[in-house]
Amino acid sequence: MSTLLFETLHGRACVGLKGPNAAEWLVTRGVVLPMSPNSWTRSSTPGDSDELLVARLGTAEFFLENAAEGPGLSDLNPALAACPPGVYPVLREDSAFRLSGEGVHEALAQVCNVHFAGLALDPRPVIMTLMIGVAVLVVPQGINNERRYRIWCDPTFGPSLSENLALVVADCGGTIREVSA
Amino acid sequence: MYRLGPRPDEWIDRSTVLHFDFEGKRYQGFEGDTITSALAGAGVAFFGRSFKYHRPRGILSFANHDSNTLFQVDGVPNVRGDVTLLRHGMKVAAVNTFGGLMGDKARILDRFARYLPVGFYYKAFHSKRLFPRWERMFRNLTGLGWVPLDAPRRTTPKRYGFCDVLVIGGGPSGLAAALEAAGAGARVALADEAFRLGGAACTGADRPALESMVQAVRRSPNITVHGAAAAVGYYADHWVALAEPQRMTKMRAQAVVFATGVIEQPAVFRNNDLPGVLLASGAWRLLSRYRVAPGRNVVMVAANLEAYSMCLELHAQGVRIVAIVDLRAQPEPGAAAAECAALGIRASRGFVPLEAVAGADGALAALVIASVDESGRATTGERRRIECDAVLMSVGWAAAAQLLLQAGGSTHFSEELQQFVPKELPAGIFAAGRLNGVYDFAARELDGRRAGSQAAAHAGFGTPSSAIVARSTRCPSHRFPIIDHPLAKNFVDYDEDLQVKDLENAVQEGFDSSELLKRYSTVGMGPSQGKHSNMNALRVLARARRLPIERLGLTTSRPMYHPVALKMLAGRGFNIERRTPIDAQHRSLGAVWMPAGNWRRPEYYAVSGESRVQSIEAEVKAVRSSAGLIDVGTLGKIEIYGREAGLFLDRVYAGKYSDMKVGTTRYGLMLDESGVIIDDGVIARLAEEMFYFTTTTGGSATVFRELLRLNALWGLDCALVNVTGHRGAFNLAGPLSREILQTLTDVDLRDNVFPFLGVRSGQVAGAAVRLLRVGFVGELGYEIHVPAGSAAAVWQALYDAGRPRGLRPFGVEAQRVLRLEKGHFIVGQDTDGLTDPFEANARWAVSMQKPFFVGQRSLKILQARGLRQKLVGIEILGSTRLPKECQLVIDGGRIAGRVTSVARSRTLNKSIGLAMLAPDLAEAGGEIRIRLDHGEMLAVRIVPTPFYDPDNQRQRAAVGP
Amino acid sequence: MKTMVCPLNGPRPISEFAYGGEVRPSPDPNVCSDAEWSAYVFNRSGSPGVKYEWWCHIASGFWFVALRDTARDLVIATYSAETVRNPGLAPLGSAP
Repeated sequence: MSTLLFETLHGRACVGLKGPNAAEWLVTRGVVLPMSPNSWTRSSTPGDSDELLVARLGTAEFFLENAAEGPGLSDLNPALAACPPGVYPVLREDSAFRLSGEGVHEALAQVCNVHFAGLALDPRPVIMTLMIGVAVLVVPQGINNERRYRIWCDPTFGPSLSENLALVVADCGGTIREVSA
Repeated sequence: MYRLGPRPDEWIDRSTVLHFDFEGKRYQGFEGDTITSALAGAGVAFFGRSFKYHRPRGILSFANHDSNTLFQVDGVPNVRGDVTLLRHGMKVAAVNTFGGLMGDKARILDRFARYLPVGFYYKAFHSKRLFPRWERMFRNLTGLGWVPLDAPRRTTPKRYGFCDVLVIGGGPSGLAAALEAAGAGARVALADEAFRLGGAACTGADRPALESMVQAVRRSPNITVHGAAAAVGYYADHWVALAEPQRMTKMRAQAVVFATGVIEQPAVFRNNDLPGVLLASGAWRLLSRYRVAPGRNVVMVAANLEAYSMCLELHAQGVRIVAIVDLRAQPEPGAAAAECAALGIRASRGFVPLEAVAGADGALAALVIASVDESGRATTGERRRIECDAVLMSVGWAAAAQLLLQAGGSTHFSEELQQFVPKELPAGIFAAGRLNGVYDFAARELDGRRAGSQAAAHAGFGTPSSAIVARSTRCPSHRFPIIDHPLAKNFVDYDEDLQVKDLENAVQEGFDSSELLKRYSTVGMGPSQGKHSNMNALRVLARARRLPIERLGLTTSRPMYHPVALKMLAGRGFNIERRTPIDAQHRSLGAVWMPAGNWRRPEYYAVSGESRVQSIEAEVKAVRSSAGLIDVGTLGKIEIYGREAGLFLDRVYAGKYSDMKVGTTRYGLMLDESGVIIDDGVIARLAEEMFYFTTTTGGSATVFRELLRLNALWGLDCALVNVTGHRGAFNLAGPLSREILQTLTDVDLRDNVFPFLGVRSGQVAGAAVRLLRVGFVGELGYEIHVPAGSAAAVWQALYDAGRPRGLRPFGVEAQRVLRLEKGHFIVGQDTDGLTDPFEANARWAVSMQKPFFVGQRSLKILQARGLRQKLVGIEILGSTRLPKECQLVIDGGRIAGRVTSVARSRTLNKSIGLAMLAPDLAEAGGEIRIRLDHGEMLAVRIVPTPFYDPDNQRQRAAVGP
Repeated sequence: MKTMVCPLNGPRPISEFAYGGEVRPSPDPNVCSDAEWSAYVFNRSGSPGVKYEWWCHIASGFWFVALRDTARDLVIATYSAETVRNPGLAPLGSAP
């Protein structure tokens, strides 16, 4: 198992949307949607080899992120800006992090009261919770013995959350890194 | 006390010798020793001084159930020596002494004991004139330990833990419960406060079975052992606080098994607190774990089978038992008693300890015993004196039920067992072992299995056992191990220095229930919280009241079970702060930070050669004469979409918005149901079905949350999006603002195209922005809203374009002066929890004609009632004294109002402010008087607002500087 | 630390929630008397009992209604916010 690693991810484009026609609109644009509330899936837009991470927040709001640098969202954004009826953009400029490696659950247990180790990965759950009091979106990834946790939060909380998480990670013997897209 | 030779199962590692200081003398111990065991092994007899009488004290429980062994260690007060591992180089001192342990000057208090009866402080020191002197004396005399004021901050981590079944207690029943629950498939957490599993005393015969259970627990993948982890509090829904030496775990379980056992109780007789008198279980722990013998001539005060088993154990280690003093007239039926007799250990039955006698050195030298009559009282008959250097007390136990009671369990007193046992337990709570009144080893294991199975089933694993394990039939606790003595000094509570007569006096004074007795006498209020004293106190109370114990009941149990250092509860002290995307630029511009709610904002920008006041005044001047740039990214920013978006805004704000033209903005005043102002902002209509609006910095989270609730309640066709943190915002203000901005944007900024209060979307420095023309600081200006990711670049572009024209960044302080010059109120500063729009001169922002809005009905009532206060402008002429915010307006002896904002205005060359005032005084031109610090009165004049540019021309169009 | 079962996010510690007061239908502001309106605005029921309450899961912004026995601090059932204006709806979740 790799060592505990806390990464701040820069340059990932993300977008959010909601509204009565949001789901239908995404489907017509070729985006594969997760069906259950609070779950995620991987999707591609047609004509694009890049992957999109698509999360359903609650029942009717969507959060999409490019898996890597690339034009994955480049079609969606201008189309959203054109104000399709019943489709409301949710501006997402989130700070993005990834926590992985040995001791990841010990680090998470010091900042969040959700039992991540006990969550099954198969249903691809999306967790909205508080980490050190900051509202975060958490997506568990990887396989059972090598889990990675993607974490997003409001960008005005991001630097402070990351400083506090880094304290915990360092104390648990982990490494801190910045990753540019 | 002295150290015996090594044994394979000892808890010390003799290959590592640790040196330490105690009271200035050098001693040595071993790796694995606790502070107490190391001192005992080194033959130290005196460990501390008692709380009130400063009597010399030694080991009593060696289980952290008394405060005789609290120490000051390396600057940390009240370290619990029984459970704290020794470290090399430790400097240890007793607490509660004046001039050191042996030379304690306060030991004279013991001679004055009769003048210090229970509750004496309520009666003696009530002279008001003298009380400050007594208070100073008490503060010096009382308390334990001292806090060094230069102690460094040491943080410890806290973490959450999760399990299906939590078992508290690692003795036979706890181990069995853990194994059974794990076998059913549950994830088990097993917590024990000792450094190793196994629990308290265990006879030689049972040891192999115990050891094999310990091994099985360690091997089980479903059981996580939390060693040296004390469960210190039970909280809702099976949440238990586990305090380990260097961190705290907040453990959530689905079911909890309490296998917390029993706490040994002392016998109460004259001088039972002499160093050398200790509990038998404490002596067992010292002997079996740390290889320290209690003495060379040991007397066992007995009233149960455990006493005899202990004697056999001691004898096998080569310790001489000179006598067993059995309180009971009947012989002990257990086999161990016969074995003791066979070894030639004399047992005096039907005798009680009357008095422990100190030798010349102050330590125990002899025990005087007396025979008892049928009712158990010491007669004036036969006395015997036994020379000894250790007296062990094995007369009974009290249930360690504190956590069980916190969990909502109830207990009742079993006369057969002379112990409280569980009666009714809430769902998910189980009890096993000696806590449950089960004493036989094999039965404890069975009871543990039963509880573990039931706990696992409650958590959803396996089927629950229906076994019923019978409680013990032999009584392990003497019903009244308390021996009266005319000269007293027979201590019930060692922590609080309370003798039997103290409790009887309290009852005589009318404090005759458990709770009253506790509070008046302080029994059970010391660091051990009654662990060794509550049971005996209850017995004394029962005798005095002539009532059975069951009628009297226990005092309420509350967290924490053991003292917990505050640093453990504080944890790392995480500090979360919100920062705007321009944070780094502020820093490089010399921003001096101030907290604004949970944000950090620049108060002003420090410039070398300028004082703070000069910088703020220069920032104000720049805005009024050329241009200023302020980061207002902390404002709440909300978008609302949908067909009924306008209708929603009409309902939640006081004004009318559904009739706004696209491309315009309007001020929004938000009220609560009682008509009080709670927030304000600017509402911009960007499209037919889209509005973008702002809230105050402090209100963004609560306002948004309440709007979500109202949207869920009303079910209108609209949706809300909170972009507060996802958009940055700046205010570029000043006569040159348009000129500067035009160089960077594609939006046509001419007045006829983009008038005051308009909003436009476009680009600035290549980023998509929304531009709003607002009037907060009273100059031509633009609020520029941009996605957070582009904010830093746009700020930099504006700054670079403006600098050559004299632009200065300005901070919160300058902005407060600027808006005050325009007479604009700040919600929560100039308004309070009762201010309605009429009082705040904001009637213009209210559209009463709408069918419904929050606060409307209340406003109708308030309008009819009339004003109770009014917000007015004030000016302070010709004085260098300024009132402070919240200083009072005094008129004819009554409080007629208060100052809400005040500032020196260089722009206007006078000092100005806002004040809430009684309406009858609020005439323009009138004079009012404000009371300053030290009672001086300052006259100020009421003037109309705005103070600056009263016709509001400057914000509407470009005007010369 | 109490556990609240959020109908959308599952069981979470109560620190993840904001309490929004008892669900109290407002009298019709257009027809009620001043006294009735004041009582609605300022008075609250402090007595223990089974009450409908507004609760918000902070991180997701999800408002729902919980039917709670305030004397025993037990949630009996949870409902969508829509239930307040449409009382016939079935609960989202019930206590076992």
